[in-house]
This record gives sequence, structure tokens and C-alpha cells, in this order.
Amino acid sequence: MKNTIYILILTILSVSCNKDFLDETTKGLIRPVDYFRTTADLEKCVNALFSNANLMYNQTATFSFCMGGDDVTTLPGGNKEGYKQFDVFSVQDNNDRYRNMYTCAYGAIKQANVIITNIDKFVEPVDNPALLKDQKNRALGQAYFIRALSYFNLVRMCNEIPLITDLSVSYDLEKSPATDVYKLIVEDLTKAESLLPAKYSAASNLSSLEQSTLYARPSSGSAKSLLASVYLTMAGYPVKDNTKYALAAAKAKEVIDNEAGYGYTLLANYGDLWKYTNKINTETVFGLHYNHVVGDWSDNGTWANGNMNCPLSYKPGDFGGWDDLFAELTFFNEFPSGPRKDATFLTQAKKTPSDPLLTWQNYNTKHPYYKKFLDIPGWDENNAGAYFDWWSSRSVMVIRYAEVLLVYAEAKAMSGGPDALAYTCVNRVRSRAGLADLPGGLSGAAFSDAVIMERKWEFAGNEPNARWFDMVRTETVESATAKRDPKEIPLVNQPSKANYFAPIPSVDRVLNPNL
Amino acid sequence: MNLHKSMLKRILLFLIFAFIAGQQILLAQRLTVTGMIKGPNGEALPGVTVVVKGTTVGTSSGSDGTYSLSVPAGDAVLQFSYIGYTSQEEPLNGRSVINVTMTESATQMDEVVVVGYGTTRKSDLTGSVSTVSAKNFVAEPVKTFSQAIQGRAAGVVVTNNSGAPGGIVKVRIRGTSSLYGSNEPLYVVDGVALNINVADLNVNDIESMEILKDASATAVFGNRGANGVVMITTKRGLSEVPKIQVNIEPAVSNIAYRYDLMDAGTFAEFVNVYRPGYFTSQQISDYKANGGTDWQKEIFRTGITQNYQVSATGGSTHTKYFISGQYLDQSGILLNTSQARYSLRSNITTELGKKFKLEFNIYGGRIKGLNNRENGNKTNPVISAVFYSPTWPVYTAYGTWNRFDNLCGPLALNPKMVLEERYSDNLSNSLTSNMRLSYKIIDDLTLDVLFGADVNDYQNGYYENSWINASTTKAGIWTSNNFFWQNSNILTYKKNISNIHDIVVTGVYEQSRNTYESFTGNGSGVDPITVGYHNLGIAKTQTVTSSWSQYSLRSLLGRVSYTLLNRYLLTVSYRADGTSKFQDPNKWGYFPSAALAWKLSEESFLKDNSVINNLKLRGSWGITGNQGINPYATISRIGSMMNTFGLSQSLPGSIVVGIDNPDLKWETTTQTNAGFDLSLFKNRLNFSADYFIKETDDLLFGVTIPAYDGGGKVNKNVGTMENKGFEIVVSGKPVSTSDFSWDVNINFTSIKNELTSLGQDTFLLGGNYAPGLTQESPFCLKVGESMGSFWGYEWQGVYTSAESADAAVYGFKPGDNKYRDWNNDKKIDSKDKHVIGSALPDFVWGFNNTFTYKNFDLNIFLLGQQGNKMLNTVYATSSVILSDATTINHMDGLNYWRPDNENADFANPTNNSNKNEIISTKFLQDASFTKIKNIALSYNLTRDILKIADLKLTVSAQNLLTFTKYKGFDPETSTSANDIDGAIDVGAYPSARTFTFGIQASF
Repeated sequence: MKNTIYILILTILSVSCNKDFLDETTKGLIRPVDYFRTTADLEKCVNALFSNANLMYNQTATFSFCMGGDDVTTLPGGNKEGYKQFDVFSVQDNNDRYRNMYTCAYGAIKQANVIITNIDKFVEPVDNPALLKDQKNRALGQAYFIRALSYFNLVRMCNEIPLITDLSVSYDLEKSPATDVYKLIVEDLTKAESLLPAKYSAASNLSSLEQSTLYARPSSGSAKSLLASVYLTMAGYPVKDNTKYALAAAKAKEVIDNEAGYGYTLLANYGDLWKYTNKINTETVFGLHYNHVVGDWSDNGTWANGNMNCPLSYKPGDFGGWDDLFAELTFFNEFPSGPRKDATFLTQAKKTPSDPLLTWQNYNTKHPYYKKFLDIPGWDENNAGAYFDWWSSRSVMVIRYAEVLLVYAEAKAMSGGPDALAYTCVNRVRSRAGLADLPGGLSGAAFSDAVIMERKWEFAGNEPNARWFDMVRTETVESATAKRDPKEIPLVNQPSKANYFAPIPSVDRVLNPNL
Repeated sequence: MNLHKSMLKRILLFLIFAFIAGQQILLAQRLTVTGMIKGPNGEALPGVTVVVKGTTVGTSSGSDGTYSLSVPAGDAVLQFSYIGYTSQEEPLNGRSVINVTMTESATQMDEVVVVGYGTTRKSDLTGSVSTVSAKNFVAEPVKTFSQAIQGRAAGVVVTNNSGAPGGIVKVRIRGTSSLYGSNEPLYVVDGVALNINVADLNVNDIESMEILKDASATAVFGNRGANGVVMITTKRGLSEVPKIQVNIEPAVSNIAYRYDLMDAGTFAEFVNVYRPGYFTSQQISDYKANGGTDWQKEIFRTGITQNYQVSATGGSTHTKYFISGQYLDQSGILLNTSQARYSLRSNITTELGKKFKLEFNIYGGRIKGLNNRENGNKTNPVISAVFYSPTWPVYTAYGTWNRFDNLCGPLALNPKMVLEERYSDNLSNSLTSNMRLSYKIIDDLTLDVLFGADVNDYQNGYYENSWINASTTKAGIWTSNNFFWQNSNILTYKKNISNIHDIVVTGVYEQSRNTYESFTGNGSGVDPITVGYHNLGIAKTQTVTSSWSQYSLRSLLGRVSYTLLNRYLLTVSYRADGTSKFQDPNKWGYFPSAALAWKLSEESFLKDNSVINNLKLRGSWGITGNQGINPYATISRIGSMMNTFGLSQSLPGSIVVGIDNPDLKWETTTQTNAGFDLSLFKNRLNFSADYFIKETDDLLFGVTIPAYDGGGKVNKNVGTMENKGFEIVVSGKPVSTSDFSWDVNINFTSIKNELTSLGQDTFLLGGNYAPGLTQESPFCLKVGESMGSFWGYEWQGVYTSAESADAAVYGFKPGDNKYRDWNNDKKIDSKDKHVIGSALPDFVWGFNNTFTYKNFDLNIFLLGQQGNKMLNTVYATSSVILSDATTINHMDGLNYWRPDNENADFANPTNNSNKNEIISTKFLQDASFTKIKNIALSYNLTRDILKIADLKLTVSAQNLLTFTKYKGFDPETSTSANDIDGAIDVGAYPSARTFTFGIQASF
């Protein structure tokens, strides 16, 4: 017995004294140093890149910093405080809404940086260098495109921002001036333009996933279109570099001249753009796509794959909506009537088919609402109170071909005056809206003003190409706000240049006093 | 129901078996001995064990103190024993009547107390240790460990996260000392660290719990000792006489509080005040005539509890056993919530020859819960039942669910529908076992080798049908397996030298390892959803995840306890702990401690004092650690972020999560303790008091990475925290006569917590529990303040007409809420937020009384907390208009400002200029409370009446009455689960008022 015990104890001691007992074993865990090797790894990084990009566009909160626009307003209190602060020009840096754009844009930038800084580590398959090169180029092109898009959102929101191009962590970084940010955006888009194919379907060595998601990929046309918009913005406030008008026009023209090659058209009916069944359409130059029923909440991508802009954010509270944002009265009244206006606003609806028709004058908020973003399967204006879910799978058109046409028209007018193509571009948009062609012989400035008005109606309601951006770059925030209807929420501050950009959100200012 | 029947049948069979066994013992007897057993004051002493020495023949005295026992004739010796009394032996010497007077053990100080890696006499303790033994909670039908400990030990604070059967409970010993690491104490069961949930144990198996509090007691547990240690000792067989005990405890539970809400007519009328014309006058008069929906009535019900407990002890001279089984079935007071528990335990002790002793304990438990794990979010049924419109019918005219009422807000679905249609079950199978082999190498030197193993299989399955999730049906299952083993080898040397020097030296070498694996499968588009999560293959889309993690600990410990002349006591210990969670050179931590005690009552000037029979001063100092974070906290990894591109399938995505931080190490807590123990009048009155200071350095904390660098957190050691406090225990037996006695225990704990540094930060917000309802976290971490501090506005009432000029400065008008302008900038904005209270109580107390009169026992147990606050969002959603809860339902809301009601409690809901800040002193309510936790009356029917068994009948009530200013379901139950985020009620599952009937039969 005694011996047995001794043997037992000795066994315990000898077995358990192995030196690596306290080493940390990591069976299922992948460390970054062991990753980034194959095109399969790369494809997963790109998948997450688009999930990150989705987060910039899947809720009204991210674009709440555009609520100063004369097209949108919100409720005066409650959880709309974050929206209201922009609407009444009294923004605090701890506002819980616009910080979502800040964090999500930098999230997308980090993911782009993960791809860009690790791109040389992807070396497999070694036996198919052509495939490796093609897929790496497209991944890199998409990373540059999303990084540029993210910075474009950030710089238009906060103007001076931290400029991050690597994966280090710093608590004392200084803000970069807008010119530096725009320089990087232009560089990124220029690279994306050359790395991305003009038409994905014609590209070589496509993976099976790429083949099934051609509609979701930015092409060189997407990059050029975005670059044209960036140039146009740089020509206005605050960079005010007039030479950029010509670059904007030239870049837009590259797209327009080859619109068939890229496959871009204007849909014949403005209303068709907003139909759920037209999620994928030929007017979308770049779109983001969602499926909110697939994920489970254990995955970081689940929230990124639903769209909370619809069905409740834009819906009147009378029908169970959230009243996040709705139309300003002056804007609605001045909106030229026609099929575009009809498709833009929800001016009346029934809660259930047996309820009386409720017109916007009798909504609780006494404002018309935006209809553009309401359509999902089952949506019915005669049964507007029907509950489906708090989020949906609607797609978001980040860049529409109409924008490219109008960028050309405006930029051309401001760099040598409108030419025939400029007229064609703006009139294509106008005729679809049921409006007459612009009169010929307009001056560059008058033509440009007309185009900006066109953009105002065309992109109303905080589309990603928001009205607010035009008001800032053309320095018309003050004049546009002067027409605000007295029935709107009273302004806390009269707008001035001080209100053109939002402060860096407090979440980072408390971490880094240099911001 | 069938299950209950078959369980009853089994218990009956068991009873019959036990009865027959008892008869067989009777048959073997020849001579009857009777007698009367009395206590020191001449009172009858029931329950005294009487055994014929060296046999299994025995009995116990009845309630009148008499016994009757048939013994083999001749030179038999009777042993009389009873806890707390000195055992006696009486040789028969031919007598047939033996009366005995028991004397109480010299002091209760001679009780043996379990400490880390050993035992000691209570009188020799140098550290601060509280003991809760089974007799302290036997009068209350406790169902869980936390109910047994709450209010019964100084220094321990228990907080409920949920009153659901099997709801989550926080136990904190001497405050919270960690921000990011665990604040849960270390549980050690029969010498082995417990790595299943302590709530999974059968509390009825617990003989005693020692709560180790000061560093001298806890430093022997090194880097797991900082949060205190609970040493649980399970019951084991003591005598050779077989004893069978059966408990049957049916109970009914109800909600103890109802919000005072408007009836449908009043509600509709009031809606028309702030939404003119919403209801027609016809509708209003209809509601007045016919009433509406009482949502609270719809969602709560009477919960039924059935508890069956059987245990058997006994053995032979060398082998003793304790076996127990339990079946507990509880249906909750909220519709469609329940939990059932089944458990078995077998504890066996055997002596193998003279030198070896073997103990083997094994416990298996199975817990099955239904919808009992939700903590509350802003649309959960408990909160939505309070703000849902009484004008909204539960069902449509077609008898289907009336799904969604948008009058009361944009989010919440019909609360009754949610309760009835949701489905989430959980299943936990636990096995904990340990073996201790003691080997007496020489007389003074013992080696103990312990092996312990814990296994837990956990499973959580859910489904969402189209009522719950309108977009798609969903179902999923999560399973996990946790395996823990520990080996401890303890060498103990005890030597007494001429009654002058008493020395105990302990050396320990210990290793343990924990391995965790999980697997989840989820599907959406599961049609038909009637299959639940049992056929995920039919789902339109499926996702699968799995994980694996492991950590290991290796430790060395040395301890010396030295007593000089039974007066001066010294304990020093030193532990070295290695953990796999940190990287070199931070793997190893070193934890010393020292304690001194002086037994003044042993000094000549007090030795024979007639009043003071014990007085001891204690002082200790030591260092403990906390490594309670998840493994792999020091390394970054590739995480998953799937994408769909709008397709109906989940496409895997990869992101980089975290950054490497190899410098991370454990937290260090330095604790100093001073205290004394005093016993008067032969232990009739006992005092004990302790004062302590705990300083925690290198706090583990998730430091925020700037959003511009991708955000997230990285674990770092930043900051310091201090807990200071004192504990007082008064216990005694103020009255003790032959017919009547009164036992009392009062304990009082006051702890002051302060965050003394946060590294580079001085202020951080906590978590947000009801985003949308609250715009920011109501909680903050602020240097100089305590954990659980609230960050919000100070509400100063409602502006009166006389204050209209003042109101106008802020853009308000009479009838609007008035908030304090802290920075005096004539604006009310987030810069006016302040620390407006704390969720930590100033003090907690327990007051436990047992009165015994003849065959009756009465237990009255009160406990309370004072000074703690809770943010009541349930009250807020029902009393003011918010964007997520757009109506006023609470009767209090009617007291709103009008020109003819200037001094109103609530702002005028029709004022557009008014702002309702939820995170303000308006809704931060005083959650101090006094509860009658248990009141129980028992009657003992003794064997001499029933012949077969002792029977004890008990009627009792738990949570009978709560005295509080808190205007909500339960001041004790908070939605927040961690310690930074103090206390917030977002519709937490309220604890119930329970009436229990108990039958206990002892054979």
C-alpha cells in the first residue's frame, strides 16, 4: 500500500512538472502573424471590408451630420436629440448619432489598411501567379476605393481629421488638414481606377464568389465617378481649388463617354429606383447590399448586414415609424411637382385598410415624409401600420449615375461654361423628373446654380449624396436656412461657417487631447 | 405532471424501504434502555444522537428529550453526542434507565473551522473568517447557495440580476476590487476549486461555508484570492446509525408589487390631453364602462414550486456515507418561465488501516431552464407590460395576437405574446467530484493528496417564430463543454512542544487546468418552426461557430502557524503562482501574508473573569492577486465579420481584433485587517468586529483604442481602487430556559469603495443598457468616486409660473422640468451631468432570530441595505412621454403641472419646450430596503408520538414584506450584470413572494 502511494505521488510530480505546462495553447485561435497567406484569406478580408462599408450606410444616425440640410428635419426631443442638434446648429461632441459615421468610417479604413499593408504577404497559390496577381489587384483596388469613400465621408463631416494609413495605435496623433486628406483620397482613387476592372464580368481569374457578386463590386467606373465628385467638392468650400472643376468634368466625362461600357443608365422612371425589387439596377454606380435575415448575433457582421434606414426610420410615428427624419416644409413646398415629387414624398397613407386616409397635414408631426426608402416586401400605403420588422434588406445606392451626369454638368459649367453634353446631362435628369429642358445660353454660373437645384431635388432626404454637402461646398448654408419655415423647430444658433463641420466626437477627444 | 407523479412514487418506495430497514434493526434488539437527556439549564434536549459504541445501533432523542433504545445486553457503552455539546459515554452496567445532562462544548471556539489547505480551531484563527453552517439556514427553504449566504455573513453582499428561477446572482466579499477582471469569489468545495456554477450545487448538501475575507486567510490562494474565498464543506456521515431524512416542500409564489397604472378610461382621457382627439368620446366612455387590458395581470401568474429532498447517512466503524438526492421544479411568476433541477450526491469516507484515510465525493446535477435567462432590455415584457396601452386588447377579433401597439411606442411587441411565443431553453449537466487521500507518514506529519475534476455541459437552444421575428424564423443551439481538473499535494506538520509551543507547517504543490469548448449552430428560414432547433438542417441559411480555450495554473505554497502559550498566535504564508494567461516574465506572481493574534482572555488578568470568557485581538496584512480574465487576453487574433452582399448566405469575413499586449499581468490587492472577538457570559453573547483596507493596484482594464485606429479595447493594468470597511457581528442566546429559547445573529457590513486612479483617464462612461431610452450610459468611472456611480442630471422639480423668467433663460417655460445648471453657463447640456448617486449601499445588514418554544420553532430573518440607488427606467417609461414609450400610464403621471397645479411632480406633457432626462435624480430612486426574507413556523412531531419517524411541519413565507421607497417591482433586482454599471431596472425579472409548506421526516 505504502509503495503504491509513493509511486502514485512520484508519478504525479514527474508528469506534472513538464516545463511547458504554463505555455498558452491556442488551438482555434488564429494570430495575425499566421494569416494573410492565400487568396482565400484575402477574399475573407475583402468580404469584411464591405461589411465595414455597410456600417456607414445602414442607419440614419451615420448621416445625421447632414441634418442641417434644408431638406430634412426631425422631432424636437427624445432620442432624436442627436439629429436635432444638427438641424438647429447646436452640435455637441458627445452627440450619440453622428459618432456612428466616425467610428464606422474608421472601421472601414482599418480594414482597408489591413489589406493594403499586408498585401505582399499573400503569396498563395504559388502555382498560379496570374490568378494571384489579378485577385490581389482587385482586392487592393477595392481597399483603396473603400478607404477613399470613408475618408470622403469623414472629411466632409469633420474637415480636419486624423489620417491613418497603417495599423499602429497612437494616443497623441494630430489632426491633418483637409488638403492632406483630399490628397490621399485622390491618390487612393487614382490607384483604384487602375487596379479595378471596367466591367467585373469581363475580368479574368474571377473567384466563384466574385462571379456571384458582380453587382456589388466597385469598378474603375465607380472609382472615376467618386473621384469626379471628390474633385467637385475640392473646388468648393473649404479647399476652394478652382482648378478641380476641370478635373471633375474630365473624370465624369470619362465615365459618361463610356457609359455603355460600364453599363450605366438612368432608369426610365424615377419611382422605379426606390422599388425594393430594383435593389440591383443599372443606375447604381456603386451600391451596398444587405441581407438582415442571415446572420446570428455572435458574428460581428450580422448588424452590418441589415439596413435600419428601412422600414421604420423614415416612417411617420402615426404608422408605427420612428420619425427619425422627414421633409422640411419650405423644401416640400418648393419642390417642383411631377413624378419625382410623387415618388419622393409620402403625403398620405392609411394605417390599416379600414382606417381613414391620413394626410400629412394631420400626421402627428404635421410634416410630409420621405417615401423613397420605405418599400420592402409587404409595404402598402393603404396598410402603412403593418409591422414587418425594425430593419430590412434594402440596398443603398451610394453613387447613382444621375450624380455623375450632374457632376459633369456643374463642373463643365464652372470650367469653361456649359457645353452640349452638359445640357444633355442635366436635361436627362430633368426630363425623367417631368421637367422641361433648361433654357439654352445660360451663363456658367446660372447653369451651375440650376444644376445644384437639380441635385437638391434629385437627392432629397439624406441620400448618401446629401443636400447638406452641396450647401457646404457652395457656402449656402446661411442663405438656404434663411428660408426655414417658422413652424420648424426653432434654431438654437443661426448658422455660420462655425457650423459647417462637426467636431471630432468626444469618444476620441477624451482619449487624445491633441484632437 | 407525470414526472412529478413518478417522482412521488419513488419517494414513497424509498420511505417504505427505509421503514423496513428500520424494522430490521429493531428485530436484532434485546434489552430496552430509556432515559431523558437534558441541557445545562435542565431543558429537554431533542435530536441528541445515542449510539451503542462500536455498533450501528442507535437512535436520537425526541422533542421531549427522551429516548428509547434496544441494546445487546451486557457491557454495552452508550455514546451521546450533539453538535455544540461535549460528547459523553455511559457504560450500561446493567442499568435500563440512563439520564444524561449534556454540557455545551467548552466554547464554541473549539469548533473546527475550514481554512485554505487545512483546518484550525476557531479559537486559533488569526484571520477574518465568517462561518455559515447549515443550522443557520435550515429554517428557510433555501433553493440556492446565494439564498443561504445572503444576510448571514458579515462582509458578503448578494445582488440579484433576476428573480427568475435560476436567475443570475452576484456575490461580493468585501466590496468590488476589479474593473475588468472577475469580482466573483473563489469557491472551494471540499478542498478543490469549483469550476462549475456554484448555483448548480444542491444547497442542502452544504454542511458549512467558511468565508475567508482578510489577506491572511486568502493569500494562500494567491492570484485567485483577491475577491475572497468561500470554502464549502459538504455533509458527510458522522455516526454509524443510519439516518434517513425526507423533505417535501411545495410552495406558491406571486408578484409582490404592482405598478399603480391607469385604467383604460383614465388613460384614454389623458392621451387626449397630450394628443388631442386621439380617442373619441364614445371610445372613452366605452373604456370607462368596459375597462381595458391589465397588462401586469396578463403577464404574471402564480408560480408553483415542488421540492423533494432525500438524504441518508450512516456507515460502519471505518466507512461513513452521506447520500442525497433532490428534485426541484419551479415555475416562475412570469408566464412561460421555469426551471427544474435534479441532483445526486454521494460522499464516502473510509479509513484504510491506521495510516490512510480516503474521502470520495461526487455530485451530479442537471438543470433545465425555460425562458429564465433574460436580464431585461428596453422592450422586454416586464417593462413593456408597464408602458403598454390599457386600451390595446391582447387578442384581435379573430383571436390571434394583437401584435403591436404603436400608440405606446415604436418598438415593443405585445408583452403577453412575447412571453407565450418566445422560446429559449437551457440545460446544464454538471459533475463535480473529488478524492482526498490522507496519509499519516509519522504521528506529526500528514500528506494529503487531492484530485478534483469538474465537468459542465451546457446547452442553450432557442427559436423565434414569426410572431417574435417577423422577417424570418430563426433557431439555434449553443453547446459548451468545460473540463477542469486540480491536483493538490499538501504536507502538514503539527507539533506541540510541552504545551508552550504549538506549531503547524503546511507546504502545498498544486496544479490545475481548465479547458473549454463551444459549438453553435444557427439557422434562419427554419420552416416549419415547430421543429425548433432540433432540425437545423432544414434552415434556408445556416451558420456554425466553434471555439476552444484553455488555461493552466501551477502553484507553490508555504505556511507556518505558531502559537506560544496558547496566547500569542502568528501565521505567515507565501505563495508563488504561475498562470498561462500571461506571458513571460509576468507568468509568476508572489503573494505573502502575515497575521498576529493575542488571546487576552488567556492572560492571567482575564483568565478566570466571570463575564469575559473570550477576548482575542487580531491583525493581518497580505497580498492577493486577481487573474480573473479570459485566456488569450494578451494576444490579438483574427475575428469573424461575415458579409452577405445581399445574398441569402453568410460569407466568412476576417478582421483583426485587438492588439498584442505582452506586458499584461494580474491585479494586486494589498489588504490590512484589524479585529477582535469577544465572548461574554459563557458564550451567551458574542461580538466580533473587523476593520479592513483593501488597495488594488494594476487594475485590469479594457483601455479604449481610439476609434480612428479601429476602436475596440486592449486589456491593460491601469489604475488603483480602494475598499475600506468594517463588519460587526453580534450573536448569542439571550434567552435559554427549558421551554423557551431565543437565538439571534445580527451582522452589519459597511464598505466604502473609491476609484483612486484610472491611469491616463480620470473619467469614463460605463455601459448603456437601454440605448434609445437613454442617450448615454447612466454609469461612470470617475476618480474619487465609487464603482457603480451614476452620471446624470440633477432634477430640481418643475418650473412654476413664478419662475418663468428663470426658465426662459434656458428656453423653458413654467411646467417644464428644471435641471440644475452645474456649470452655470445658462444652458442645460451634457456638461451639467454630475455624479448623482451610487448603486453601492452604505451598509447592509442581516438579523436572524430563532425562537423555540416546546415543540415550536419560529424563525424570523430580516435583511436590508441602505443608501443604494437604482435607475428605474420602468417607472420612467410609464410616467413621462419618451420617444420609445410615448404614453403616460402611471397614476403618478396625472400629477402634472397645470396653472392650477403649480407644485406638480411631473412636467406638463403638452409643453414642446420640455425635456425629460431619464438619467436624472427624477428617476434615480432610493433602493434602500428592509425585507422580511423569511418567516417560518415549525412544529416538531417526535418519534415517540409517530413511532416511525420524527416529523417536522413548517409553514413559511419568503420575501413576505419589503419596506422601501423604491417605486418598482423589486429594489433588489437590477438588470446590469457587471460592477461598473451599478443598478438599473429595465424590467428585470422581479423576485417573488413565496409561501412554502414543508414536511420533514427523519427516520
